[in-house]
Amino acid sequence: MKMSEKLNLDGNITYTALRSNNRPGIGYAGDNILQQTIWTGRQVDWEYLRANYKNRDEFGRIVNWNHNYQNNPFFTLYNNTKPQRRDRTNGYIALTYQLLPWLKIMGRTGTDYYTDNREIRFEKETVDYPNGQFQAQSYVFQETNSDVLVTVDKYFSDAFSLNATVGAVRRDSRFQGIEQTANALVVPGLFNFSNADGAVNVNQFVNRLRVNSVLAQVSLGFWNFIYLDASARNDWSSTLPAQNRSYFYPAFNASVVVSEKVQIPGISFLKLRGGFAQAGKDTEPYRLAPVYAPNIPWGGTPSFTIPNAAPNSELKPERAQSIEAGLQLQAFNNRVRLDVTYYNTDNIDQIIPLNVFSTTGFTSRFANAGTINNNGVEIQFGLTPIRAKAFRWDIDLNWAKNNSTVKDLPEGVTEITLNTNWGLRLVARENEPYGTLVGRRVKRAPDGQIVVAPNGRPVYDADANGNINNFVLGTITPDWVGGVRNTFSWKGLSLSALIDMRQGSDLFSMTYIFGRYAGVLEETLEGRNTLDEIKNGYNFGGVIDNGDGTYTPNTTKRSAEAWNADFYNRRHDRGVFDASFIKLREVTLAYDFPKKWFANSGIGGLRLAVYGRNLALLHANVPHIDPETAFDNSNAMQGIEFGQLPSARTVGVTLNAQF
Amino acid sequence: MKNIKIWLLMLAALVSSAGCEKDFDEINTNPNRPEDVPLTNVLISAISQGVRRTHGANMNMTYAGLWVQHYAKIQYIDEDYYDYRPDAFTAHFDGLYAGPLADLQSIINKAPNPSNMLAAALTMKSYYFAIITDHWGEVPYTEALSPSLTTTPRYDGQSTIYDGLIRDLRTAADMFDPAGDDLGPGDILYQGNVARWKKFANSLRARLLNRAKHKNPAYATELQALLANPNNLIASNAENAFITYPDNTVNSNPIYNNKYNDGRNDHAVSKTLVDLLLSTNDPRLPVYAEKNDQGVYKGQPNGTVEPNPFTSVSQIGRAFRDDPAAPSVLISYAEVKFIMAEALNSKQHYLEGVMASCEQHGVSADAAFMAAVEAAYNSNPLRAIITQKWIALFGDGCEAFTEYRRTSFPAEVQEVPGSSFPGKGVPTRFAYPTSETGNNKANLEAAIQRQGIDNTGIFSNPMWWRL
Repeated sequence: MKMSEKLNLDGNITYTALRSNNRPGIGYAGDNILQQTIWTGRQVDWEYLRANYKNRDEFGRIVNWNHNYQNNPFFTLYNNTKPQRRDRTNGYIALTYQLLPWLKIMGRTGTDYYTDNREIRFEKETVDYPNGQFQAQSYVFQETNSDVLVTVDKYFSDAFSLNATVGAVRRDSRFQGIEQTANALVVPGLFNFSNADGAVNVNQFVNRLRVNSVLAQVSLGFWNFIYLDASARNDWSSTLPAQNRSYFYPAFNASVVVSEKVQIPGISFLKLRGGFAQAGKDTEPYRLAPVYAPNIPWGGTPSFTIPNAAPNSELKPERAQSIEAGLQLQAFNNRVRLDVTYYNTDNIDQIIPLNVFSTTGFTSRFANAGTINNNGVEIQFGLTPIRAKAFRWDIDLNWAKNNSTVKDLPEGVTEITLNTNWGLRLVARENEPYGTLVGRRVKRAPDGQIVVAPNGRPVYDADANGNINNFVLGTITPDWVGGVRNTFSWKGLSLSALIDMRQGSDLFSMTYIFGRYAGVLEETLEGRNTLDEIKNGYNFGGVIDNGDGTYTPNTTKRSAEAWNADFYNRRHDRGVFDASFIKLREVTLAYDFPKKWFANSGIGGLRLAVYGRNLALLHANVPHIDPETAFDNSNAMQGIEFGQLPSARTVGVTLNAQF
Repeated sequence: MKNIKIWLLMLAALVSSAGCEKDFDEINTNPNRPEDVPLTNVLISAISQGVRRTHGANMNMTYAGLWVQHYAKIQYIDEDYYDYRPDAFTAHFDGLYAGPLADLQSIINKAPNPSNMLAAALTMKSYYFAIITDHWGEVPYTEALSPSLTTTPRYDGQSTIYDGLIRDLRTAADMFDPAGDDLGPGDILYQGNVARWKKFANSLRARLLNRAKHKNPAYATELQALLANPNNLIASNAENAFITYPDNTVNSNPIYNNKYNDGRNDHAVSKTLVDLLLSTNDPRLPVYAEKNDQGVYKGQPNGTVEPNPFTSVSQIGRAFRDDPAAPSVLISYAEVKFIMAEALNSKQHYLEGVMASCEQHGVSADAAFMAAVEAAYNSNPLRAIITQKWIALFGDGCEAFTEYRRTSFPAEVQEVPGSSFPGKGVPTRFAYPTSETGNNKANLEAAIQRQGIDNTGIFSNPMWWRL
């Protein structure tokens, strides 16, 4: 909005609402419906359970097939819900004063604000919560950014142009929450704290931080083909100790459009670019000074404990240092297109809760611990083999390879455990790729056969140090990822298909392990196909180690139940699979209606498309599951899978109109 | 141009205010957590959280109590095959050091000297540290719990640790003063009865001295002096050291919690225990175990190669399994009696120990039963004492497992048939946590070498106090 000749007011506001009456349960939890499925015998009649989840059996229990560990899955589905409401508003207001044609000053303030209300409900008689449980969590988040920027934008001549900005920024962030839990309910079906049986436990918090910054940036253009960018910034963060809270970081980039000055046959566009950048980052609030943390009160008495994570009053800001180089090329009348990028980034002084030896009294300590190096190549290659009058075929290929390595861990620390699940550890080891799966494995004879004890049970392997827990079983880092899109266009009609690939990387499938143990997988039919096998057991093979380098075939018969239960018994290698895949990610058939059909109607274009997404898993090396989904969304859980909801296939029709 | 000056001035003001850190210390002061709290509110955490672990469904029921065959697994048999979960041992090791021991150390650092609060913290610290060294052997002790001193503490030998624990228990017993400071509502062991705390500290000292008296003549001497006046020790069931639990959910008895709040039913009573109790017609059997679906007491065999149907075995007794407030006993009058029986070669103390245990569980020992108990003593006193101690310790698997590894009694406890490590016997220890390999590797590897720990992590040279 123009306020005057030189003053301009600008603003924007966005509101989004999220409503859910039941976020699905994930991970290893009783409210994960897939967990129930994995542990439910194949003979169980689910329709009967559905029809009777409100009814009781002769003992007065909710109708179910197993009362020890399992809820009736429909009892869970309909009663134990997790509603959520989130309302988010963000917007800004900016005032710009055009002082001179080449000089302007802008003041701007913007805020992002949301409230998030969640409930977690467990009805009475749920196996894990026989007295019921009710949790309500309310969060309010606000982040406000205010800045003043002075910008110079001047085109002097074809030989030189200048764009420069100096300014100051303030960021204020506030996150407050209240989490309440009633650990028992008086009457069923009423999820309200008035119905709490006993005290309601409350966790309340307010987390605040402020970052002040000054910045300067300049872009120079020479003869319309050489471009230089430089920037510098200094931040002051409240989250860091006084001596370390100020940090400076510059960046520099250059690019040259070679094709502007040098004629290369067949090449219409060639750009080279390179750059160097640093970045600084602060940490979360309240990591500097020691405090006590509350336990749930013991009866009526408050109980306080020393937190497991030790504070650190000497934290420094995190640093990133990166170089990047690239090439962009178009050739043969744009029938060949290539974009190549190489990057190398060191994330230095990463602030993490570093595992420390618990005998210090703490299990972790916030520390600037080590460097993560990421380097790699990204390539996009486009080819148009056919470009006739009405028909066109495009091939677009993308390929990327990233190497991620942990370096420079603190003295005495050789690895960081990112997570442990069922005894399998995901670790970051010094000078090894980030994310290694470490655990136990079954001992094998030189020919690959499983070594069993005389009782028929598989034997653990031990490494040269005599450790059975420390075998590297895989890595979560793929060798490369890539995709191919083929697009065929004929007149207004176009057909396009995208195939995605991941080569390498491993995952640990607990779905497979538990599926073996529970006897719900097809593989578990071995050894229980005949009455004789069921009665007398079955020889599942393997060899016995004679201790002198020779092996004797196993003769001990075991039941299929016992044999498959041993898949669970901490022999992790039997659940580790190659996570490579090939997927038909997307197919789209679209038709652009001829423009002449609606000439003068105000409609500029009309497109009808039929699309399918996530259509097919063309190839995978892991049985029963989609290798692309994992345990949950957190980084630390990568490479571990259990009870995932099957990935959804989407098919739809869209109609787009342009005006 | 005047305008430009004003704008530039405003910019300069903003740039300089951006560098201003005036409110930063206030902004980064944690408004959610206290820097200091009354020590009694830390003591309650140290006692309750630690005992809930040592007497819990995992450390007790799934490891120590399982491997000493108080319990047997009917579901997820793996631990009963000695297929331990490394993360479970990590959780217990880390959970004791970074949990109650860190809390107790903060009390020790802050409490006046002398004070009852300091004495109580020293007593509980020794209680937990004894459990740690009895299960993990050499562990950091002299350099532990002081991150400012070192983050890679060295491992101390068990004799060094025992010296320290016994010294601290002696110091604590001398320090307790009934006229001194009130321990406050955090004293959930004795509700402020400092005289009983003193007996508790002395009884723990008797436990440790008795365990290692053959390793150090001074221990034997100190033990004799301590036992010379039984009034220094827990002298009745009323003086037992135990906690009960205040609710039926988050702070319920962990054995109850395992069944009713976690929905687990993975354990039954071991056939080894049920058969021993049946053989003498022990009156505690109906307290420790339930009848099976056929109306008889039938224990679950530990670690059989083929799974057993589990409806047909005896579940854990109601007093232990179905009572949210059921006590967790740290040390009992009966145990003190068995220590005296062993140290003083006294059948009388042994018989009184059995009767004390029966009284503790609300049953009476009839003459026929006591005759069988006495006959056992007459044929092999130590075997009888430790077997009866093992029975009395039902619910405290850690102490029972420790005494088994010291004495090899009860002799009925043997390697399970389905062992994943056939021929190695019953595990001699808990495995060191995996967290150490990344954090204190050099010290750890030296400790593993010294103790002859093999590739399984749970078999090694005998513990230092092994008879």
